[in-house]
Amino acid sequence: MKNIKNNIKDATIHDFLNPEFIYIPILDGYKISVKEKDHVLKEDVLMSKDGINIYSPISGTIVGKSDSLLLNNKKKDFLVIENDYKEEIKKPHGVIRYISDYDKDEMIKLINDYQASKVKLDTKAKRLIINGIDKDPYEKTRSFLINSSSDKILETVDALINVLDIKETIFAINNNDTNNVLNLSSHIGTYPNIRLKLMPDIYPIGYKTILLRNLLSKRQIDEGVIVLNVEDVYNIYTVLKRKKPILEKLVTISGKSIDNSMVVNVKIGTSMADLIKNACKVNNDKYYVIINGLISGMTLENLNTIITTDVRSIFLNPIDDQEEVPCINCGLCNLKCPMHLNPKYIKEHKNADTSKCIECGLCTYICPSKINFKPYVGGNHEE
Amino acid sequence: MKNNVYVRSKKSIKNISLTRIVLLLPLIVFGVYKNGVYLYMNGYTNIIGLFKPIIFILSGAFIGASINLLFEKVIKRRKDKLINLLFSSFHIEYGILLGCLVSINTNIYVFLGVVFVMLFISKLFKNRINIMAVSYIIIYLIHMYTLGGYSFLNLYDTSRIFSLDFMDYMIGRGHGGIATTHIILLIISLIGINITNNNKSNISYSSIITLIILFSIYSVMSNIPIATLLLNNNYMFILVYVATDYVTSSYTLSGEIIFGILVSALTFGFYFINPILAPFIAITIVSLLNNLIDRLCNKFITNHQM
Repeated sequence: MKNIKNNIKDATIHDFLNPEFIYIPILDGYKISVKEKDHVLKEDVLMSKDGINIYSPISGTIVGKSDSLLLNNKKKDFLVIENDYKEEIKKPHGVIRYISDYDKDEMIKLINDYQASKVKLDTKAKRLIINGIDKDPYEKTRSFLINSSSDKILETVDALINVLDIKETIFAINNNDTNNVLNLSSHIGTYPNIRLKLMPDIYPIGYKTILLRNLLSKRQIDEGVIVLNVEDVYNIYTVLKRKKPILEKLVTISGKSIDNSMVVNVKIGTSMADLIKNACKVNNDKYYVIINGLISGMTLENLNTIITTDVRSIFLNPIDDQEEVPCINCGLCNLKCPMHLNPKYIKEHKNADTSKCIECGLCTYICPSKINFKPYVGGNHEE
Repeated sequence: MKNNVYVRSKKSIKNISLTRIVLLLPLIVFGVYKNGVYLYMNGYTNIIGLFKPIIFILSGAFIGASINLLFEKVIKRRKDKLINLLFSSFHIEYGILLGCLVSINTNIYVFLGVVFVMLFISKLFKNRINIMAVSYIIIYLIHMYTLGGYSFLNLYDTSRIFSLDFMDYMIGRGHGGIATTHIILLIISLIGINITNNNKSNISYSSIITLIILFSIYSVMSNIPIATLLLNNNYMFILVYVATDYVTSSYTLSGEIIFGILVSALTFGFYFINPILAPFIAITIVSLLNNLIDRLCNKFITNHQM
């Protein structure tokens, strides 16, 4: 069987930044500020709601609306922009020399305005945790991002420490991630306030709840802690350094139906079908599309969807022929659950409390009877 | 379209069954030696007697395999690899374990008939009760009431009188089924299935500890050596392999512990009625309650977490 866990042999990040069209979902309550045939520049505001803007990732022409794509498996209207491949912007960005020069309010305002992170920065928190561990063992997005931008990430973390007056900062990475262990170890000496912590390569250590439990005591967590993953930190860097919105995203593309697994830098709003067609070689027509991890992710009906800020990875895997057999009562789902839930009981009792579930998928992964617990236990999207 | 996990662990019924069977092999080899080879070499039995132990064990496995194939291939028409169909449930293991548990004096036709019918019924009704315990009780009762009795002693054991001490039991000279008496090999096997995580070890440990405590008290009161009480009549083997049957035992941590304690407590109680059947009756009763035990444990844990 093809080992897809270590299938990404090419350590470079590939670019797919020139799609023919960009599709922006028209979200409920958003007011569209452009009309058909308008010419838009990169970073122009396309729609907005309560001060939150959605920006154009490319320059080009608005060709209209389309309802042929899906967002989270649901039909949605999309604003379609045809790329003119010029990447024109209104005015070039100045670069801020020292991002630690921002004051607290200005920094938080910029982060919120440009939606660099979904995490609300608690200004009273005394601890900062940087999560550099990929959520799913088959993803490489965070690992590649650290490898390519460790200097920027460390600079941003240092700025956050100074501006937010953080007392303790831990940068957690996987101890199996050899390149980054070496990379960060050689750079981190310049930042005495940041402590590098190597975590064991055990799934689901990349989940916020599990990582926190392994790093801090309950009392320390209760005192207030900010948890940012490296993507958040990199986005914060982009926003603070260049004062520009987040228009690109790193995505892992892998799976048994793909010959050349890779990590690719892609424009937000790119069609997944376009991306796969242009970036990869697909070796099998009958496949499932899975986003955000083979264990923790969700299945899409097809590639007729787009890259959003929430997409970390895309996997194309052949259709699985493993049949579910009746439960053998082994109790492994219960034993392995990191949140100490009882998936078998939850499956059999509709009213059982699933709120603690972090949707890591371990119960389904471990089940000898190949029972799929995910539709029953899915509770709380934590990140 | 369903939301699923697209990589799975290697853990499967086939994998669990095969590991448990492989770790049972040293006990089976000793059983074949004790109840076949040794008797034949010393002139206690003929060539058929030499192969009798292995015939019981292999025929048990064969019945389990046939029933799985019959149900999966013929009735359900499942299209899968042969090995996956053979190990679609634990019936091969049940057959082998019954072959190990019965006395060498068991009537082979009774054994084959009971094992086939009971395994068939258990497959049909999806294993609601510990089928090994029930099958054993039926085999025992048929022998007691129609075939004139049931004894664990083989021809060599009956030819002389032994005074067994603790070490005799440890090296397999105690009284029990075909391949269940060697306690050292059983301990190695128990360690093996626990290390490979193919056993509900909490049931084994809680039941063994409970039985040791209860028999120790009784031993002091009755002056019967604790080893005689504990290491005869397949007790240890039953607590390691039969009570821990995956399908019919509790699966929550606390449920497994309560299950084990109940099995041993009832075994101790039934010991005074029939020492051979005691653990089987206990397991049959407690296996009927396994869902209730788990539900109560789960409710208790949920209430205390809130």
